[in-house]
Amino acid sequence: MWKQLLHRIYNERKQNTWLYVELLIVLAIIWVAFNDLYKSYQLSTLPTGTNIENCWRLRIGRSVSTSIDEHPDFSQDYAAITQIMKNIRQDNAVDAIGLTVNSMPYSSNNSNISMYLAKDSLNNKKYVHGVLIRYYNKDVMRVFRCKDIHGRPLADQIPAIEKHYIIPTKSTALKMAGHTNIIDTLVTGFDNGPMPILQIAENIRYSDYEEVMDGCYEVITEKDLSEFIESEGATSNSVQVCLRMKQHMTQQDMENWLNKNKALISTSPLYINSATSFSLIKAGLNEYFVRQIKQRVFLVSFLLVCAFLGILGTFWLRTSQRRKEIGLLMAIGSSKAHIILNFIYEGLFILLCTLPLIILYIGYYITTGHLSSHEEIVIPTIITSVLSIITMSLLIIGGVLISAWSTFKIQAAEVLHDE
Amino acid sequence: MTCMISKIEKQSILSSKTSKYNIIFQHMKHLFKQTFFQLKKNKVIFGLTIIGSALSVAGIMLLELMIQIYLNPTPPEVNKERTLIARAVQIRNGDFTTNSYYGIEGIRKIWRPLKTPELVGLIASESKVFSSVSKTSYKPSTVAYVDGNYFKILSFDFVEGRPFTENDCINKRPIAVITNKMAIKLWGHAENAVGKTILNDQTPFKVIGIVEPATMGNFVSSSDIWIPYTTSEIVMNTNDETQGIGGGISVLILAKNKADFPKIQNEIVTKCKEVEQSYPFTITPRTIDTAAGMMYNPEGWANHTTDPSAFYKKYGSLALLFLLVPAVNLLGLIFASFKKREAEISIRRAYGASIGDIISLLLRENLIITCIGGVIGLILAWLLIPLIIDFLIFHPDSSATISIWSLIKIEAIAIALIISFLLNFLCSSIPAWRVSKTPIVNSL
Repeated sequence: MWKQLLHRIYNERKQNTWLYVELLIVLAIIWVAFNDLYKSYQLSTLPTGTNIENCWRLRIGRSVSTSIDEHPDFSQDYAAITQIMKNIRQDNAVDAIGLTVNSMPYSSNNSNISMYLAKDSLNNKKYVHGVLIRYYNKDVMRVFRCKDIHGRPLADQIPAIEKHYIIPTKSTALKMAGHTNIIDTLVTGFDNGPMPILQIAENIRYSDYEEVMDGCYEVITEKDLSEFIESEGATSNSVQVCLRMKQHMTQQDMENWLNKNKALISTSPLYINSATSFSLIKAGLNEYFVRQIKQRVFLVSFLLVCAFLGILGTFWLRTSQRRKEIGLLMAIGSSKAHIILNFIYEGLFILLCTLPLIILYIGYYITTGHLSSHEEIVIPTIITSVLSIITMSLLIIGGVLISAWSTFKIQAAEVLHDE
Repeated sequence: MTCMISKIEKQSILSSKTSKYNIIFQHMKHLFKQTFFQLKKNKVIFGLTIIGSALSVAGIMLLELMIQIYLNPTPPEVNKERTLIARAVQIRNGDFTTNSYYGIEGIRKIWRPLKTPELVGLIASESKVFSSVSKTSYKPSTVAYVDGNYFKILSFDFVEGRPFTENDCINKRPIAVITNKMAIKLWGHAENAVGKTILNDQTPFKVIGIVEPATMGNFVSSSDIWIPYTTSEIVMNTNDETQGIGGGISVLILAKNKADFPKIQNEIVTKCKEVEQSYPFTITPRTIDTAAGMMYNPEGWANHTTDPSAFYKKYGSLALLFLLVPAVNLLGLIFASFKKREAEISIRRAYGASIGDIISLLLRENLIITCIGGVIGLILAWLLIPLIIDFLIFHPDSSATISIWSLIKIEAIAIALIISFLLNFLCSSIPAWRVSKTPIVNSL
């Protein structure tokens, strides 16, 4: 059988060369695209370190009409915000509410710091650069259900007595010390001087489609918050009131809820002027990645259609050129399935011949660093390679079946008559 | 007598011209007949050839249309070709690094004193709730804090009213320009909106102008509301780690001409070095983009390259891909269909046709097929654009649209035809040459 197959492929070598080149190009492109898509899928399923289900961002506005020239008085702002939050917390529909400064999740703020263990000697400092910093207190941690590396809520572990602590994420701790047993160790790199590590948090990510980022929570005190909010640096953008509702709410539901609780959400001189769900904020930040994925899917679909047309054309020509052979085979008792299988084997064999070059290409792709960003290379590479080959095989089978369908309309007697 | 001769000469020239045109017409008629005969005879193969060419042309046309949407200077961004946009600055102070837009101090100290640009404008955007006096809203709109130069660099289509000036900004006038879409959102209609009041929190702003919303591909003109930058606490804030050098402002730079771009880039680097002397941190300008740069990096991410070669590399390789895969397809199909006609070609050669004549005949026949594919591809691209535009093109306002009719241009049709010629030449020349070289005796 193999001998016959090779013989047939050799006889049609010119057409097969074109088919080979085409399958090679398309398979290489499809593998790269599948690999990218698989990587995006894998990233999108990893935990982001924060839970934003039923969470809303509330914006603060000034309820007192001021003239443009008049400089607003910020001295009452912190008291007003805490009063508004206290009012909202009492509502039965509310699960948790907290206040943070410029560091809510998915906020597009990528301000970062460099940090190292204070005890390290001068020559042995293990700097971790580009650490994403989030200024959270117990309330905010409760809103976003932040957890430590053992899955326990961080909010429950923050002492009642307010003090400055930091909670580095697992990746930051590992880079800093090589292990996670560094609780109570002092870390340098903060404006407030060296701070002790309270706990190690689970890893965080900047967006759903990016790798784990080194991060660190700085536990902020009431004093920090009030100083910031009563300064000129506070803006409606940087003061971020985060709310978790007990149940899912649509934008309209939330607007109705705010309208119903107008008295609760306003304490002179401030009021809540808008609410945006975190799922919408997240979608905004992920938009770039989602668009890239859609573009890749479109490109792959386009190439698959082109490849399918090529395969269809090649097999159509081949079957129509071999009508007599098919007719004779049918006349001597070959079944349709047997003849079709022969064509399919031919196509799959050519596809198989592309594999050595494809493996070299994948090797080159990996060694030039295209895949080095993710820890795991082997399994995704195998999965995407298998998926690519299955897709191409399906195209070949489809192309052969359609071509054969027209050829099988021929009657054996007709061919014998011609002969 | 002379007059008579001249008349006869004219008639003979005229009749020779007519017969020449007649010959060409007959020749073309014959070519079309022959091509359509071949097409009928090999419906499937020629059908696949046409679809293959159509897909290839459609792929390249989609790329072309995408570039057109981003780069064509359409109102209000009529000066796209000589506009730069600076969207990021890096501030580094020891262990602290931040990438942000520019702050008001950055604008005052770095951008305003520049000598090379014709105009420097600014824009800072945020989501904010604006309500009408009678109806409270909780849904934020996009507000742009801009200066007087912004309206000089861009050319908005004012349905009613006027833009604000630098003088309005200096005097912190509580005035606003809004889109007619925003007017409908606020009052249910856009008529007589000039003079009405909108509430920015509880501060009243008077509407002085109504404009048409920006179409897709226009980034810096996309907003619902424009108000003087001086009225915004966010824009005017200088009390942060960067002391106002970083902030939330993008800078629009209108150059006198395109050739000034490198000069402006150099001037800004020098200026940053000069300004950082009086601060405890370093200031590095990042992401100063042309319209092409905006297309490559629409989100304005600071860590993206602004090198135009990266843009050409990306879109060039995509174009090659759109051409290459169908070309390999077509090459195989065309070679097979030419091969079938070996006997006919040999007879033609036996009757005296040269190799050149045969190649020319096959190329012309195939050109008709690829041209049909080209036209179908062109139509396919225009039909596909509305379906895929959302993920093909980035736009800050997700509801922004573009008229497909505005994309139908002679240049686009010319490009489709050029691609058809190129594809035809790529895919038929080698098979035509190979087939025509086959020894006559063998084929007969």
